Amino acid sequence: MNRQRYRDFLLFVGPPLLVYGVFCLYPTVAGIIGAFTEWDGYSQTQRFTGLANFRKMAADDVFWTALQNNLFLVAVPGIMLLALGLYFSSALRDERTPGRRVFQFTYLFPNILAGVVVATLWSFVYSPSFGVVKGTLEALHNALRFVRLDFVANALSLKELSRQAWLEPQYFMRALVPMLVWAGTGFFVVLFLAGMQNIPRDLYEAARLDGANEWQVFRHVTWPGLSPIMLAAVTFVIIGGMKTFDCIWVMTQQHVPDRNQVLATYVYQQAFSEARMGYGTAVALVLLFVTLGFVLVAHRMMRR
Amino acid sequence: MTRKLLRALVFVSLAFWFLLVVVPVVWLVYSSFKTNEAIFADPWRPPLSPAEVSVDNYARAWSKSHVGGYFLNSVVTVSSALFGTLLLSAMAAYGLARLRVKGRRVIYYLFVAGMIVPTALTLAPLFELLRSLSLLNSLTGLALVYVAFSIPFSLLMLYGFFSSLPEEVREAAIVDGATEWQTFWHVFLPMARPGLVTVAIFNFLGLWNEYLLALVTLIEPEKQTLQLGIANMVVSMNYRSDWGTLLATMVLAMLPVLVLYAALHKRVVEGMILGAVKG
Repeated sequence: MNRQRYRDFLLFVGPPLLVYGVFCLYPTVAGIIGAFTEWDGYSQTQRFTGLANFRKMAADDVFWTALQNNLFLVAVPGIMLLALGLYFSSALRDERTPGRRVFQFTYLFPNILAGVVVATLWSFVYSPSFGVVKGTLEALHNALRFVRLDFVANALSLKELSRQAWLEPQYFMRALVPMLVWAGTGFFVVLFLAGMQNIPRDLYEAARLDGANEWQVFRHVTWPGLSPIMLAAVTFVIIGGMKTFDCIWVMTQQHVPDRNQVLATYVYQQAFSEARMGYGTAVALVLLFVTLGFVLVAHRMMRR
Repeated sequence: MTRKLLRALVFVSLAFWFLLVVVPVVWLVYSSFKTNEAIFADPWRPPLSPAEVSVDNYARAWSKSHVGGYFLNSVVTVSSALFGTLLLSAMAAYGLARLRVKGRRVIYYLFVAGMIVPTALTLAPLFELLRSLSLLNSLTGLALVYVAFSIPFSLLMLYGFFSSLPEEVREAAIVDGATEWQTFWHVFLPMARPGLVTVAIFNFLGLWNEYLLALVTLIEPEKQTLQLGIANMVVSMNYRSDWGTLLATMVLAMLPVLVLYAALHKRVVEGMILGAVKG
């Protein structure tokens, strides 16, 4: 009886464990070990070098730039995503808002598009030849000239701005922000709306009877009621910002300039373009620990 | 009065965001039906008369730019990975939830731990592993990697499902002389269908849009998936400005996701929320 059960268990769990073990678990363990080695990916030799990779990283400017860029991508789009998500979900919670379903449906849509597609679409937006940003700035410039406010247009240097190549390295990281917010907001709207469904309706009705205004309702009912889902949302923002790869890779046309590197693109560049697999993997290990660290700190702070 | 004004302003902001989301996507779709000349002449103008609508971009993409091949590669890889993920995760979930064996909790956590593994950490070893197994440049190799990376989350979801089903059902089936496998296949799997659908949708969206693992696994152009194809076309635009083909390919990459989203909106939302809360 007992042996039969073990045999059945092996029948059910064995095959999945084999595939998972070989193609996910093994590369993970090999990656953790590989972070402490020198290893070029061509020769069969993998030399154990202790902490050398990490020492090298501490002195590597590009690594620090990449880490900084990741922090930027967690913090700046993150705050906007959470704020817009809260705002739109509060507006859509109100059943008297016309077209709620249509809004919910469309808002989420960019989120299910591939990062590659979103990045390509936004390359058009920023394109200096027929970009949306260029068109808008030019239209604004012409409108101001038309009403004889040339000096305003000149002061804002709209003409010059409209000729700007927004994806040049010095503007690139900031140019990513509108795109990430465009693509991500819908997800947080839907997430917060789901969270609000768990808040008892009587609380909202009681607040209304007490004559609370929209802000007070938000501050005293919605905000505290959302705290469990907020934890998930913040975790999501951190992980999303730390693992960014596709959009940077595509928008820099697969050659990421040093000042636009993030950790994931730097891992790829080091491991595959430079054939420094050991060093690249060490950067990836740091990426893992930094992400875990942030998530833990966020959870600690939000528990209070 | 002020309240009314405020509500009107809120509505305006909602409508503004709506346009912000919809306009680029609509632009993408109608521009893909314009000729390259028309796109350059006026990138904004939609094709207004039937004479201006052209499917040349699609024809050219499909036949000349390997897009037909990319599309098929994506379909084959994602559908086989999806099938493998569902089957293997359901088997593991059933075994771990229903067959009380010593050490099963350890194995369960071993599986679930896979959720925190960042792809970047596995890239180099995965590349070497696939090369030594002759699975580099192979859709089978990529599908296996996809299955392995999809199992942790799928297992977590299905484990919850299988644990919540009553034990009497299993006992009744066993008493009737069914083997463990028959009980799983004919009794539990049908009962878990809603969970399987949610898991399938969640994984489909992730895998159809996946880029990084495919980038490492597939090198030859004939083997590449749609996402790799688009990214490479973006680069080639520098010396061959065939925007029409690129736009058409993007629409093709978007189409399956759009259809799924329109048809199963509720389930998609459910899957994504569960994914965020549990993951």
